[in-house]
Formats: sequence, C-alpha cells, structure tokens
Amino acid sequence: MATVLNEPEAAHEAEYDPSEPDIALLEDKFPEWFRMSAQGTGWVFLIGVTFLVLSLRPLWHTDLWGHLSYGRLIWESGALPATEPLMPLSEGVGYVDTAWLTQLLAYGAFQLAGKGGIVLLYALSGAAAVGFTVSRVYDRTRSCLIAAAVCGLTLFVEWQQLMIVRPQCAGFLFYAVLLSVLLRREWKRSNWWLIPGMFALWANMHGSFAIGLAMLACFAVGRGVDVLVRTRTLRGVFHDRKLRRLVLLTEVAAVATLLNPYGLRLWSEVVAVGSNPNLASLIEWQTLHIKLTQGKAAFVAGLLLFAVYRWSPRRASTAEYFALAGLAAGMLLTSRLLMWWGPLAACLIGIHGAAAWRRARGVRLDFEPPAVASMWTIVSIFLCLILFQISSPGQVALKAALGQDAMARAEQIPVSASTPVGAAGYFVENPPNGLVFNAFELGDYLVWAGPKDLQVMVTSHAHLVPHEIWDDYLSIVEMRGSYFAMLERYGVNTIVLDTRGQPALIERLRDSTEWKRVFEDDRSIIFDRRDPI
Amino acid sequence: MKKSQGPTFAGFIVVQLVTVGAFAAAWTRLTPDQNDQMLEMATGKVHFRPVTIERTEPIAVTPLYDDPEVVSDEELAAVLKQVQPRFSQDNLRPNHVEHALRTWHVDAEFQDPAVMSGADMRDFLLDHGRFLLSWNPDTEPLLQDRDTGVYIRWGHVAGASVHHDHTLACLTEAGVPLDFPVRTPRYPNRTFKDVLEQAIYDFDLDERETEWSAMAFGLWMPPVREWQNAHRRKLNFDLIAKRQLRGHKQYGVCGGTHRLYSLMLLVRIDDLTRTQNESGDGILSDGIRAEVIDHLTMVRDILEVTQFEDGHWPYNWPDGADAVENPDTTYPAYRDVISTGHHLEWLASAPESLHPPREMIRKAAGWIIANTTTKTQEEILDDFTFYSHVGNALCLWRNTNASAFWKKWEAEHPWQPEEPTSDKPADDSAE
Repeated sequence: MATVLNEPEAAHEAEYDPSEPDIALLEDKFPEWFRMSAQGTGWVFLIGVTFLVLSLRPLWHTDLWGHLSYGRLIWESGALPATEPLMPLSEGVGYVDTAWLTQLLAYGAFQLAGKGGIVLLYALSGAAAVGFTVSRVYDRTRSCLIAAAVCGLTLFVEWQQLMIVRPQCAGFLFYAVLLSVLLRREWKRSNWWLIPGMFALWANMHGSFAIGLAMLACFAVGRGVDVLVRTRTLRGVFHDRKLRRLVLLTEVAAVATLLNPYGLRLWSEVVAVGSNPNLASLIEWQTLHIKLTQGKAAFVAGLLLFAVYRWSPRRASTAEYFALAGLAAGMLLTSRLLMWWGPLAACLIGIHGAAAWRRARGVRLDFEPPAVASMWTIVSIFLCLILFQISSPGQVALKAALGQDAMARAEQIPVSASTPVGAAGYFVENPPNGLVFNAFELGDYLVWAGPKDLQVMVTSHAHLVPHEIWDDYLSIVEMRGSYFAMLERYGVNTIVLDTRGQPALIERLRDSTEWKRVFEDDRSIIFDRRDPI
Repeated sequence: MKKSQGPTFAGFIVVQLVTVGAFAAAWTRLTPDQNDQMLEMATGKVHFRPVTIERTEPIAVTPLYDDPEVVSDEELAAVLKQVQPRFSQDNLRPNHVEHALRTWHVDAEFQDPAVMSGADMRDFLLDHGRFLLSWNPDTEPLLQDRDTGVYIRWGHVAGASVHHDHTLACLTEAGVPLDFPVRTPRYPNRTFKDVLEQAIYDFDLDERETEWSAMAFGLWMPPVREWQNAHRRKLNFDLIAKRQLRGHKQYGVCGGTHRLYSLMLLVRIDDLTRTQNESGDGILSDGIRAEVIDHLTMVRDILEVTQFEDGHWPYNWPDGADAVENPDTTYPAYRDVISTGHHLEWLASAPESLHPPREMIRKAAGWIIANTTTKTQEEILDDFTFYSHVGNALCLWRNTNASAFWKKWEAEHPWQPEEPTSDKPADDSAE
C-alpha cells in the first residue's frame, strides 16, 4: 500500500519546479505599465469623486455666459474683437481678450455637447488641478491620509472660487501643475519644455499666467536667499544649480507668454485690469474679509499653517514664506487671490503636517514603492466609468452613444438659481426697444441667450465699462440720487432685475406709475416703461 | 545613474540673450500708441499722442437761408443792439464772453467804446495776462498748463468756463485759427492747438455734457474720422452722434436743444466731407446719419404740435402736444426764450425737410424778437447767454453773421454816445 501510495507523490515532486509560476495563484499577465497600486486606485476614486461633485454643480449665472458670447463672436467673425463688442455703451473701449482661447474652446465644447461640454471642461480641469496638488503631497509625504486631507482642505478653501465656471478654472489647473513641479524633490528634464509650453497656453487662456510667473520668480528669489544664508557668499549663489534652473525657467516661461495675439500688450492688460477702479465695487475684488465664507475658510487654513510650521521638523524654504506671505498680502487687496493662495497653503500644510505627525509618532518616511497589480487598474477603470456615467456630461455622452437626443439631456443640466432663463426667453419673444437696464450679474446670460441685438447696459466684465457708466449703474441699482432721471438719460425703456438681488428697487418700480411689470418668475423680473422714450 | 547637470554657463548666457531679444522684438511690434500706453503704465507719466489735425482753420458751416420775413434788417439790428457785449470788466465771466464771442466773432468792432470787441473777448479767453486784469490774482487761472495741452478750467465756480469744451467750441465758431497764440500762466508761446489737443485728451463720451466737444471736434477733426482719448477709447463721429441721441429728449443743456444744434452741425459737416471726399464717405456712417435725420425729423414733428399761439416753443417741448394742452407754469419765463431761440438756431442750419412750416418759424422769430427788444439791458444781461443765441439764430436766418451785419448797420446808423449802458454783471447760472 505504502509503495502504491508513495509512487504518485514521488512523481509529483519530480515534476514541481519552484521557478515556474504557482498555478495555485492567479497570474497577472498584464504588462508592467498597466499595473497600479491600491493607493493609486484610491486617488482615482478621490479625484473621480471630485470630478463628479464639480460636474453636479449648477452652472453659475455670471462670467461663463459672457465668455461663451465672446467665444461665439470670435468663432463667427474669425477674428479677435479690438474693442468691446457686447455692451453698446462700451463701444470703442479697447479690449485685450486675455481668455480668447478658453472662450473659443468653451464655445466649441458647447457646440458639441451643449452645457454638457462646459461641465465636462469645468469638472475635468477642477479635478485635474486637485489631482496634481494631491499627488505632489502624497509624493512628498507617502501618506494617503494626509493627501486626502489636503484634497479636502483645498476644496474647502477654494469652494466659492471654484463655483464660478470661467477661464480662471484653466488658470487653476495650470497653477496646480506649476505647484506640482515646484514642490517636487527632483528636477525633470521635461520641465524645460513642459513649463514654457504650459505658460504659452496659459497666456492665451487666462490672465492668471502672471501669478504663475510671480510664483516662479518667488521660488527663484527664495532659493537665492536660502543659498546666500547657507553659504554666505555670492559665489555660492551664482553656482547653485537649482537656483540657475529656476531663474532660467522663469525667463523662458516669461518669453513663452509672449506667444499670444497681443504680444507684450497682454502683460500691460493684466496690470490694467487689476487696477481698474470699477472692480472696487465688486465683492470678489474687495479685500478678503473674515465675514465672508471664504474668509473664514482662509482663516482656518491660516491657523493650520501656523500650527504645522510651529511643529514641523522640516526646514521651511524662504520661497514658501515669500509665496504665502505675498499672496496673503494680495488677499488684503482682492479676495480673488485666495484662488492661488489656497492650493499652496494646503500643500504646505500637508507636507509640514505630515512631517510633524511623523516626528510626534517617531515614524520615518517610507520610500518603499507600493505593490502594484493590474487588478487595481481595472478597478480604477471601472470606477472612472461609473463616476463618469453618473456625472452630467457622462449622461449626455451616453445619450449620444445610444443615438438619442443628447442635446436635450444637456439642456437639463441645471443652472444657478439666479440665471435669468425666463427673462431671456421673454426677450426672445418680446425684443426690447433700445437699451436695457440690467443687474450686472444677469447681463452675461441675457447677451448669450437673449435676442441677437439685445442692448444690455452692463455685464460682469465691469472693467470694460466706462467709469462714468459704471458709476451711474451703481447709483441706479443702489437707488442713489436721481436714479429714475438717470434711467431717462440713458433712454432705458426696459429694466430686468434679480428678484433676490435688488428687492428695494423692485419694490420702488412696482409702486411707480411710470413702469409696469411685464414678466416675473422666481429668478428675475422685467419692467417696461409705460410711455417709452 | 548620472546625476542631472544644471545649465551650463554658456546655456545661461544664451537664455539671457534670448529673453532680452524676445522682449525687445515684442516691444518693437507695438504700435506707437501701444508703446505710449506701456510707457505710461511703467513710468506713471502721461504718454499720449493726439491725433494729427490737418487743418489750421475750422470748417465753415454756412447758413442756408436769407429770409427777411423771419427777421428784417431793422429787427435784427434791434436784437443785436440788445445782445452787445457790454460787460463789466471786473470779474468778467468767461461764460458770457464765450457766448458773446460765438455770436459776434473775433472781427467784431463797435463804435461804442463800452462794448468789447471780438479781439478783446478772444484775448480775455486766451491770454492769462488779460484774465488777471479782470480777476483777483488769487483766482485760479482759466488757462492751465498740462503735459497734454492747455486745459480750460470749467464748472460752476468763479472765473471758470461753465461747460466742458464750451470755450473751445465758441472760439472755434468765432473763427480762431489753430496756430493762434495762447498765453498761459507758465508759457507765453502755446497755441490754440494745445487747447484742442487737451480737449481731445480729456474728453469722455459719457460725461454729462458733450455738446460742445461734439461741435469742436466736428469743426476741427475732418477728414480724420477716428481718434482716441486719455483712456485709449476709440472715438469717432458715429459714437459722438449716438451720444447726442442717447436718452430722453429733455436732457442735455438748454432743455435738450444744444444736442439738436450739435447733431445738425455734424450732419452739415458730413454733407461737406461727403462732397469733398472722392470715395463719398463722410464723417458719419450711413446708418447713423439716417438715425440722426430720423431723430431731427421727430423733433420737427414735435415742434409742429408744441408751438403756442404767440409763437414761442415751450421749454418742455419734448412733452409734445401735452406741453400746449397742459402748459407747465412752474418754470421761469426765460426758459421759453432758451427753447425758442435755440430751436431757431439749429433750424437755420437745417435743410427745409427738417423744418416745421415756415409760418411757424416766422411766428417763433416774431415772438423772440418782441421778447428781446422789449427787455431792459439789465434783464438782457441777467440772461445774456440765452439772448446771445437769439442774436446768432436771427443772423443765421439772414445768411450773415453779427459782426458783418453790425459793421454795415453802424456805417449807416452811427452810434450815438448818449445811449445808456449797463455795467451790472450778469448771472452766471445762465447757460
């Protein structure tokens, strides 16, 4: 029996070869490049959820529609407008279109997929920006928890800035890429073409390229200071390889920004827009106040920064201080700079916070690469597909793939509660006679969706409105002085207001015998002059 | 693995050269104006190139009619005698001098030594020394030196012109050439061109009163059709005309009548430039010209239904027939002088297609002549600016100007020294 029983075992042992794959285990036959780690799948999920959340946001009612209108105009005319083309009272005002490429791209996306195309661009850029930010933090900390926290913090601080779909979203993505490069430990050769190429694109897509250049310069100067403090010789500064690279990169990026239709004028326009007096009356261009939601968010982030710098064992670079302090000082002038301060602060909180955490726990940084498997890649792909499918642009794409009316689905994508959809429809059916006085927030959408020759008084592009007109606009909307006479001076026969934004003026117009209400819904209200001028 | 090397010294130098070269090339691609804009931004100092004015004499828009039934020689003489510039020389108000000068022109001369000649009035406005003879040295100068030209102080303050660019327009209508010397507090050698260039620089299309800028630019600019102001806003006569058309007709200076005069003047200049231009282009586009004509036609229709039985047009003429059916008795009587006189003035330059029936014009002229000639000198001086328009309007209806007519009249009817004069200063609230 024993012999009989043993023979097959002996035969089996003779056939077993440890160098051969174990058939008891599943073999990963996918190529190496296809495999990813479980953490990677976690990132895909995190970024995917960010994409989904952004894609479900209603489209904001201000800038977006104005930019689409410019895009439409550029597409139809085949040229960039030399003067302001949408507001009749701004005729002749020089217009350097710092976002012409984004406007054109957005208009193209709208033509292809309606609002779905816009949402796709918006959510992709936002998610990608968050992705770049978070991936660099993970790269520096190897902590999924910290990186996820940075993701949350970035969205917390930036939420109000991100709510508005506009070319700045493209700038935000480029800025995140730049931060990712600047906070990276190693220098990559590809930076020499990636960064200038990005800046060339950035300069054509949004005026925030100036912030990017300032950030590069800040890191170069900061590096110079660090080296000087360490070596105490200028020779050391001149011979520092990293400093030289940063200086050259700043210069090459600056040269790249000249590749735009306006050349050097683009630079002066960026400065001119920022110093336009009309913007002082817009809340987003005013100082970042603690009373504002985003002011509170920035305050929380500021406290966290203080804490991590207090306990972090890492040596903070001078560039970090320069950049954080410079942008924070800028926020005292305009809250819009929070857009650029937020991701930087979140990254540095993450990096220094992780270091402080490790010191507290006595843990060393683990540089071991995580295990990878194609299974995680497949899971990631499915995650992407599922999240995309839930999103608005995904549903539009599905309808298109099924040969159904995708544009009808795109039409269902929500817009913000103040978007004057009904008012625009009313104007299409009842074109107003002459100039329309409108709340500036409504102007962009009315130009986009209203009748072709609609003459709005102002749009959200306040810097393109002559100062006297902007002053008069504010006087009317704030009911200062002889505001009814001003309406006559401008020959206004129609007024459209936001039902929630201007209640006192609406009440006054309701009581007036000169004006009659001709349209009202839960978003906007239209008055016509009883005896037109 | 070989450690990444930093940029070499040679590479560093090459990048510096490329950077400097790229920015230099970008700079050379700027137009002169863009260059100025960049310099202005970089240095904080004004860099502005005004448009080149190709003429030294303003365009002359000649009157179209000589209708003694509107105003006879005797009536015109009686009216002009009333509106002679018999101003007190103390604290002489620029606004009055300007109005008198545009009516009487620079070549006006009077046998009565108490009346300012055209040259005296011109010099008061363009020579700071003459201004100082009338005003306390503490008064802010009327003429002010700027990097971009000569600024004329305006507003409702002592020693200032009341309206923006009113001095410029009046001197232009009075026939002052562009090279005429201007003496400012700092420089004795500036010219009238500097006044015009400053006006071009600081003109804003959306300021409250643009009527006189419109007139002055129309009389000086052509054949130039486009220029820009300090804010680099591109301006042209279409925009200027649209600005005059903007809003309710009652707005604008003198009950909205100055806008009509400016619009009519632009149409007449457009006619001239279309004739002179080989391409047939004028200063206005066809569309805007048609809008202006439509507007003036609408005003004509309003004038047809707003004339009162006695011949005057009311100040609230834009109210149409209602102004006659329910007369507004709340405003002072001189406002009807403003309205009637100013309407007669622009109608004198308008083609007949824009006229109400001639009988209405004659009635209006009859009313304003009677009104003017029955006023005392004191009353006239109180409202001198309005009455000066009456004098000018009636001259235009006789295809003449006050200066030429008066010289001829005084040759035939010499001045009698015993005629009473008044030195009561006039009220500057008049427009």
